[in-house]
Amino acid sequence: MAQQQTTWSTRVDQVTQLLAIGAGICLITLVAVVSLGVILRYVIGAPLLGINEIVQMVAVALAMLALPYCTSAGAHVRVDLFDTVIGRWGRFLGDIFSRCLSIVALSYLCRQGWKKASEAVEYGDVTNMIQLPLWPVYGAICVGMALCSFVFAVQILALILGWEADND
Amino acid sequence: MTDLAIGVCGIGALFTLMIFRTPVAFAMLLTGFFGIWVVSGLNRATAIMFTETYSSISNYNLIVVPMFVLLGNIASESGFSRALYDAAHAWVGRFRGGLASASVIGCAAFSAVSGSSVATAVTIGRVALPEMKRYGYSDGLATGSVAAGGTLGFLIPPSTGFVIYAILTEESIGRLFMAGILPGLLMMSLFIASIWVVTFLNPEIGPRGEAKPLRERFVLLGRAFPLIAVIVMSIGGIYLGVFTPVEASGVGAGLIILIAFGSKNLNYKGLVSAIRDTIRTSAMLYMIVVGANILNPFLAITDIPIALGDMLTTFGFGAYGTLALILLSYVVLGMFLDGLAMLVVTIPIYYPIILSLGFDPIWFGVVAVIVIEMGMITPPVGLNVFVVRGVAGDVALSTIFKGVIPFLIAMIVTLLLIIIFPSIALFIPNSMFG
Repeated sequence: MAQQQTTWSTRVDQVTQLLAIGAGICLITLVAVVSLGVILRYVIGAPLLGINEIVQMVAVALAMLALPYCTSAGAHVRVDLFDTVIGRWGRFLGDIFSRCLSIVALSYLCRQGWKKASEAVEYGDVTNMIQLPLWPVYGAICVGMALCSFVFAVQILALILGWEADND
Repeated sequence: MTDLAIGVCGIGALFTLMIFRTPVAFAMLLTGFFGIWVVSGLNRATAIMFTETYSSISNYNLIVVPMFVLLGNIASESGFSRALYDAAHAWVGRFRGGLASASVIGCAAFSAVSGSSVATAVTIGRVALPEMKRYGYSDGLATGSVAAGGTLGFLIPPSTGFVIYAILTEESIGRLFMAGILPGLLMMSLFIASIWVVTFLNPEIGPRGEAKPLRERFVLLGRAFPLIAVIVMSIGGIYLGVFTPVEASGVGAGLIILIAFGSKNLNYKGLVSAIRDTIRTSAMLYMIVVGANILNPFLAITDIPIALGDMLTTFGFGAYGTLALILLSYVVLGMFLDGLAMLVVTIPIYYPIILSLGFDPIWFGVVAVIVIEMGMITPPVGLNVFVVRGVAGDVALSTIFKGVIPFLIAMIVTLLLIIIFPSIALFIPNSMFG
């Protein structure tokens, strides 16, 4: 059991850390692109065309790559004032139930993302100004939500098998 | 079952989910999604959930969040935040209660690069608390000044609270940032006045520090100059219309990275740590905005804000009476909800009511943020108090809660002044944007 726990936890951590590296690259890209836009506008007098569209696409990638890492690290804000009131079983059932519901909702979100990405490929949907394809953005939402659901599923498994006492 | 009844059940479900440890972002997302499913069907719920998710995370204005968070984290990692405190210490440390005042000034200055109360309290607390202990300050005054000073992070721009408020209400981030400056400075001044009063009444709790020569004071101020320059450039740039808030955040973050590397105050390890913290915080904030934007349509479909507005109107309390009720509800919610959670859950409901009462939405943003800040230092949740206790180590929670009382009074005075004189909040944005 301990071996299984180590393997699963390590693999999930490795995957989310890898995605976090991608999110970090997106973050630095955002800073660079926004700063470059300002420099080009004020120094050369030539605004960067479509900078908003580039920045928005990178931001989506950043958020979706960082989401599984944030979920895995338990960094989401939660109310823990009632933990002692609801007791050990209340915490256990709450943790399982909320993750199950989240997986259901995120699955629909993921499916819709896939549908939108497929339609964007089929119809060749692009952004208004610099004609960037839109399917990677929809695809990123689909993948980000799928990975977040996967992290929730692993956390449910860990709670049921007793790998984590309270998931804190 | 009427739509309104479903809406009320949805609110109940939202709080139940939060009580049973569902992260706030997911509690809102689940309530919104399943609520719309019940009222309008699965297809509409799925379509709304996707549209709101996409529009939230691709929102151009929300990009200020990761970049300002990065700016604050780099300032902290590279030791510039310590330089801010050292400079404040050098200039005001020689007065009675001066180190506590320096903590408040340090918090206010760091707030200008960090949008988070907790980050501000932790960053300045790590530096200021050992110093105050060394000079024999009482635990209550030392921890209270840092816990209260940290709340300035949520008010002084760039404030995460203002960004979230702006996204949810479609108000201007720039206007809200500018509206936070004078109230932030007023609150800082009243915090310092509180320190002066308590140390006047009991000088032993905040003895004078050593007086530093003028030359040394300027040297220490010079060490803080890079961060001060970035603060002036970012916030000043927004005020003068040179930058949009997004550009100010990007240029500020880029500049602080270059300065920190150039001055050898930041190494690769520190950069990675700052980036890791930033993406974790950003993902958390992005999901909160997504959750709130999925909850909003559900509340709108079920007419909850209209019903609540009608109910409050029938009480006949008038505009200010209704405002007092709203603020009272914040105080009650603040007893068990985190500040950010309180903001995203209540704004979709209260914002239409505030508009219908004829209040300025920018002004209300400032008022709401101050009341939410009060919840950060009052029991039982008092997030900043817990954080400061974590930094201070061996101080009882009750001591810290007692220590923040004078600062809480200062916050109430600030709030009353802003309610009586709305121009304290609106003067800068109105003079800038007309």
